[in-house]
Amino acid sequence: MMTLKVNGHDHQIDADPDTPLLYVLRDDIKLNAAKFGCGLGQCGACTVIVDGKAVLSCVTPLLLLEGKQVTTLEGLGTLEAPAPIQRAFVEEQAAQCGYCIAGMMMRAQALLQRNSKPTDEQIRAELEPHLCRCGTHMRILRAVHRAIRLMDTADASSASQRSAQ
Amino acid sequence: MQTPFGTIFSTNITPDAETGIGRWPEAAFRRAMRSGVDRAGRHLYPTFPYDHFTNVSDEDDQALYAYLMTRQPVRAPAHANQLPFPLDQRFVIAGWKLLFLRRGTYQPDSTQSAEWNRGAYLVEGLAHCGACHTPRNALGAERPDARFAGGDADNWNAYAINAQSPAPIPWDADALFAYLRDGWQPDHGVARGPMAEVVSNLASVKESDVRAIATYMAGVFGAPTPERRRQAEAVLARVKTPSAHASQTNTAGAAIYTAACATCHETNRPLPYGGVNLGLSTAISSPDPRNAANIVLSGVRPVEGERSPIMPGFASSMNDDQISALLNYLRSRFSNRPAWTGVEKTVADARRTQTVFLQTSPGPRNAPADPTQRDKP
Repeated sequence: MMTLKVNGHDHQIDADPDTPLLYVLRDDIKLNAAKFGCGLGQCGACTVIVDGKAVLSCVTPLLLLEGKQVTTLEGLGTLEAPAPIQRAFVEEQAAQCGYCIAGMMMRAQALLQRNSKPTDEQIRAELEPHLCRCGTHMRILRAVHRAIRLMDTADASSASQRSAQ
Repeated sequence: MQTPFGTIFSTNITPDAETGIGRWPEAAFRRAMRSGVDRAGRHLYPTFPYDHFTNVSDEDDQALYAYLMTRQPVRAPAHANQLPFPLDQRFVIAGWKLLFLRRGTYQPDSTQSAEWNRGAYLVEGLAHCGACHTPRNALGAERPDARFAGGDADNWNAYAINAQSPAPIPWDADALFAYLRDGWQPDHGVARGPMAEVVSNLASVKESDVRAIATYMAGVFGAPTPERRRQAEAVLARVKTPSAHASQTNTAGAAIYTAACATCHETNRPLPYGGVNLGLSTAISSPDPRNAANIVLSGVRPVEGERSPIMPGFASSMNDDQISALLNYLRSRFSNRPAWTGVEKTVADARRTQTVFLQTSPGPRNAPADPTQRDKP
């Protein structure tokens, strides 16, 4: 039995320590945003954020997660109140079949958390480990750029709210 | 380039008149290649490998000069080198040359085949393999008594590529050719780090030249002893039978291997998409754990536009203790060599030195080879 912190909640998990995080997220905690693509860390569909960094959950065993914070797409926002990265992907209609999109969003989110103004080149380099078979790459790139602007306005408006108070 | 003596910056070799070599006559270019002297007569630091380029023929120097002088000129003033006194005084280099520079172009060995001689000419000259693969003495010169016995390149270990090679399976000319041509070979694994860049560059070299390099280097490795051959056969047999003894040892390293590595490295899925069985890995059998640490941290990025190996990096999901535990386990399970010492420090150093690479990616290390060039005459 170990305690796994996911999206701010503690979960008691009864699984072998070498169980991939992806299986625990999907099968035990029923968080299905992270997808099983290749199971080999080669496609990016299973990407989640662990302590601020994008991590491939299919090749990350539970035993590496002691005391760490896992964030999945469900932890960023909800249908009613989507996070900027989610809004941006919807507004750009960046998903076609959608299978890769959760992973793309999580790695983009991790990038924007450590660099709020990445260049187009940096975004492309960052998302390179992710495969998309539908070919919506250009929309995905536009969505990340849109997310940068949305986060920027969100920061500005919350700053002005703070100064108004 | 970082050296044990300080940082030396390469200079502009585009034909820009002010900051490049635009005003250099061909004779000056050849003199730089042969003797390490610039147009104004100043000694050049041997990070520019004229100790190898001195072997290059007149015709090849002429061709290089013609190629460089017809590139687009770029204005780019040289950075000042960061060297302590007295190394910042270029007359010091004259002494170094007196001690270590053996002048003269490559002289063919008439007892060997034309292909072998072509390979020797390339390896000792333009390819300058020894610059990384031969250890250097205290003054930074390649040690003639330890040719190809293993050296350093950008915090990677350039393996011994002579009889002391740590490869579990001895190299031969065919294996070398495949490795240099494709960047991977089923019995040895994948070119990584600076060697990935070398292989990428070799993709545009004529196939016959790569074959010649392989032929010459196979001679440098030498034929394996009967004992070495027996060991290699034992390794191959072990690798081909599915692991019956799948980690019973209940250590952190074993658990990490089972969960994060074995799905690729122990499925007998062929290279380049499957991982090499680590029983075949030179990184694990090498006396120096740096390459294994580097590769676990940063993985192998695929080359754009062609079939190439791929491995995710684990820098974000494993801390130094976990990677050290993993490496110690891999060493004990997959090699019959003594345990590494100082693995924790190696991992910490690797994380520090590779930071730039880990965070920016796809740098020149993963420069895509032009796929239209590969395997064409």
